[in-house]
Amino acid sequence: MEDLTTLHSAPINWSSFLKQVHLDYETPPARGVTHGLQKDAIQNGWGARKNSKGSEWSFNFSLISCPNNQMILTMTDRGTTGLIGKVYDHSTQIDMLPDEIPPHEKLARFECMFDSGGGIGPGLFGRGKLLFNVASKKHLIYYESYTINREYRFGKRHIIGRNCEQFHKTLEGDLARKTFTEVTNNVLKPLEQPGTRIVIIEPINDVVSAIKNGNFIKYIEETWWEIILKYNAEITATDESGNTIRAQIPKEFNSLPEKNIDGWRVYKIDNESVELKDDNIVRIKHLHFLLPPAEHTIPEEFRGINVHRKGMKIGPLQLSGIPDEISDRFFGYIQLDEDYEELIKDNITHYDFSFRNKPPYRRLKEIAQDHLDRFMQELGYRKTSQDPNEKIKRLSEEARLDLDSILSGMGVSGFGMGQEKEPGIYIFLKDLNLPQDRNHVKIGEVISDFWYLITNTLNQPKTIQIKVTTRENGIGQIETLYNEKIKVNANKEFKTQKLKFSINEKYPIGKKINCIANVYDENEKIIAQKSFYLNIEFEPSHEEKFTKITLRSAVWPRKESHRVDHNQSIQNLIYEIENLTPIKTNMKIKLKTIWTIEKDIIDEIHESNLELNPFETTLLNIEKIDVSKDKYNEIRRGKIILRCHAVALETTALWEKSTRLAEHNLPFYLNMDPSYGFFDDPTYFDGGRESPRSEAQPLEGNRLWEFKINNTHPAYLQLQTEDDEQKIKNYIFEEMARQTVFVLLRKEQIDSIRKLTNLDSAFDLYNKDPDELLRLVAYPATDRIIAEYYGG
Amino acid sequence: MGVKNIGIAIITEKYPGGKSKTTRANDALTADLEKEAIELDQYLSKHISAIEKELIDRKLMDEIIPSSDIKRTQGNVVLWHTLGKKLREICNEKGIIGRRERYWLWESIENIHATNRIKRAKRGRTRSHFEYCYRLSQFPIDFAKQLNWSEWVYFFDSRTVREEPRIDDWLKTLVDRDEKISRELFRFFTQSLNKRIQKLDTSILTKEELFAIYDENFKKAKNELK
Repeated sequence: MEDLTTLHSAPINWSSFLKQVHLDYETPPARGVTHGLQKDAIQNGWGARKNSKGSEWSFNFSLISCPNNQMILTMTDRGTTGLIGKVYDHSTQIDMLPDEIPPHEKLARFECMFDSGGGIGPGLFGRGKLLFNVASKKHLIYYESYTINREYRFGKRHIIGRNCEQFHKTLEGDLARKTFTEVTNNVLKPLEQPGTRIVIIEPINDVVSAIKNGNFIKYIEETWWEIILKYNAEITATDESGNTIRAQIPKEFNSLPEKNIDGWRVYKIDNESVELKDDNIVRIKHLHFLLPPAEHTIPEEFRGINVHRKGMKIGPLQLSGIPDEISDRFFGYIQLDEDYEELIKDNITHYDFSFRNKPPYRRLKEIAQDHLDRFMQELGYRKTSQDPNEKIKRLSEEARLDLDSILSGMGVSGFGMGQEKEPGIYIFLKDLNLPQDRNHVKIGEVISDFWYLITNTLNQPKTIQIKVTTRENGIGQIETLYNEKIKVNANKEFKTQKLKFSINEKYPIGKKINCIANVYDENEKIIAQKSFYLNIEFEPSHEEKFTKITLRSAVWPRKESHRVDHNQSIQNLIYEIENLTPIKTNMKIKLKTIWTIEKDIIDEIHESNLELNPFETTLLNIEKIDVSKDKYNEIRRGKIILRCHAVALETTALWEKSTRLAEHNLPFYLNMDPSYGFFDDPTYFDGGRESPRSEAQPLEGNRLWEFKINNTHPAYLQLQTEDDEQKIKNYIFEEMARQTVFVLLRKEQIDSIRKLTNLDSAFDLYNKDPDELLRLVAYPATDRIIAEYYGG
Repeated sequence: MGVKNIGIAIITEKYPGGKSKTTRANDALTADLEKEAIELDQYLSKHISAIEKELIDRKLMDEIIPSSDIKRTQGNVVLWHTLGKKLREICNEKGIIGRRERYWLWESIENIHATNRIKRAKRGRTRSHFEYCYRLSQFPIDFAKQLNWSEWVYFFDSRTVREEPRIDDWLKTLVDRDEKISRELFRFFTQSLNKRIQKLDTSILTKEELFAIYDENFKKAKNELK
């Protein structure tokens, strides 16, 4: 009999994990599966090279069309150690390995899913290994390796549904050769020289087309030019017709001149020592900034200053002060020594860094900024005799970039994000017909035919209670119209029956009555509410707001960011449009994008007519908004407003035809990261000792906020006398952090506040005394940002 | 939004050496379209300087090119109306119909081809000086001359006027009716119209409905000033 108490590992849903890997590589700053494939594959190969200079090393990608019409992609490294190490039984022995598998156990490292190679072997985070399966339409890969010890190994990894199929033990010797030949239909001969070959069965279309149209080799050149330049590394791609192209140094680099020549302006520093904490001295091996002549154009992927790690381009360093007029041709790179590389590890997809708020990364940024400032001075973009205003402006910009980086790293939405509703339970009023289209009702009249729609947009069922009552404001309940407890399944809806009630003697003349529908959860907490008002025998005063538009949800190309690049799209937008009046309203809904700086309409996305009953709410779904390069080309980068507005199609007692009933504006940022906190440069005010050191003031409603510094406050004046740039920047940063928390509270960005304070969702921010709000929320949130700034 | 033209490409920015830096196009920039952009650029280079010369010869402006750092003279309605007509001829000849394509043309003239004689301070593409000249030129000169250039600028600057091109057609009804408009009346009319329609989106109104609002407002303005 089976021992039911035996413990087993929890099953993993491999398909779901594969999807997540796919999503990670499609989410910027990653550049998609195809770009990631070359990066991960070559990283594995280069990490396994036999000697540090990579002599005899080569890497080849080959597309091969098999006789059975199946396409395969082989990725072969040579001049490497091969997948050396012991062959373990996957079901019984592999668990005996230490948590961090030693570097010489290359086969085990390759086969264990969540073990990384520490940046020197296969897959720093083990993602690359699954990326290969993502790149296969069948999620199937084979791998073979001939090691420097003359061992031949063959393995398979196939993700089918929830399972990951592989051999119990990697095959070896003749059996391995025979099986490899069979599964590849005699198309491939087993390796006879040290190296490893990964075979992707039926590569996805993107990969195939990129190899055919030459983009794949461009991706390689962009990522790996450092080892091509330094070690003449041979990396090739072969299409199905046998045409082979070898990766070169990108031609745009003009062989990276090391001094000013032919109109190129160059700034180069080698071997700069960097002192970190605990006397730890590391080195920036090369810092090389280049500005080609004006007529030279540099593709976007090369622009800015990119940091390299282990021979590979990772991603750009965010530096301030690159003037707009040269930003489309200014580029450069930074290479570090091995010790420094170890301290600033790249993230899971290898397109950004993991520890951006830690001292090694921050120090690197400071040094790079310092050199950039000097180069800009040389180029005449910054005055050598520093104008104090310019200096403060620059320091403020640096402080703002640091704040953005910190807030972004902590998953805090910026002020400009707009309010989007999270999944949950929603209630909508339907078909309310009021006598003569007014909520001024008389005794004897009947309010009928209205009902409620309750939607559950959560991914799980929810048991709820719906209670509809009429109440006199400030007095209490008059009558209960509906009271039911029900279960609404995930992503389903529920409709109540039609309801009615008579305005009888229970309803006080001259009073305002609220008909309120509350939805309660299992703990009797109100989770959704919808109400409408009736005035018993008296004329209401005119409402100012007729309609309300809110954006319930939208899928952005990047998580936690409203950045949209050319040819990306915002998808599945759901607007909630609510009639706030007792009048049946016919309206036109228009959705368009507006280039903020030029106040010019760029795209008219949607137009439809809508009829809403009194107090009714409906949803408007917009499948997607394409930010195509064609349409948005003239805006290289900048802020765009997505405007949804409602216009009255008929004249009523409250408005005339063509009245703008409501407007909802949502900013997004084309080809640029939005500022998470304050926009633009700070402004100054002469507040003296009686005013606070800084203030935050709303601009454009409360979507944008301006940061103001009191330049006559004694603390600020003292700082000016010291003339210490770091102290000034720290002062500005701390004030900005303080005001950021103030704005988040003012805007009721509760999720952001919770992230900053680690408060759980039960903590009610609304009903707190001022001292509690300061002690439990404002101070800890500010301190947390400041702690991250000074080195976490 | 304006009507989309077929295959228009306009060079709007150049490097100091003369090579194209930015080319705006309403379609994929093919080699043919790029060639057309270069041809248009050469055409503009000749024509804009010829237009400036003609305006000087007609004594509508000075030959001396004002420097960028001094405030330029406002110019008069006849000058800008004449320039607008010339610009309209270019648009017609080159098939530049859509509003967006027109803005690119103004950008090109502003950045590359015009001197400070006919350029004025940049105030964003929707408030382009050349667009105002272009719009003014559709009215007979005798009608346009009833007002100063500053009144026309005040009129074109209004958001309600910028966003509603049909107001030009309504103004033409004043021309047809041979309405006499004083500077004071026009300024007052513009002011009250802005106030009247600031909360409206007139694009959904029929021509009759829209013109009724303009007529009512014009009548009211006349009565107020009586």
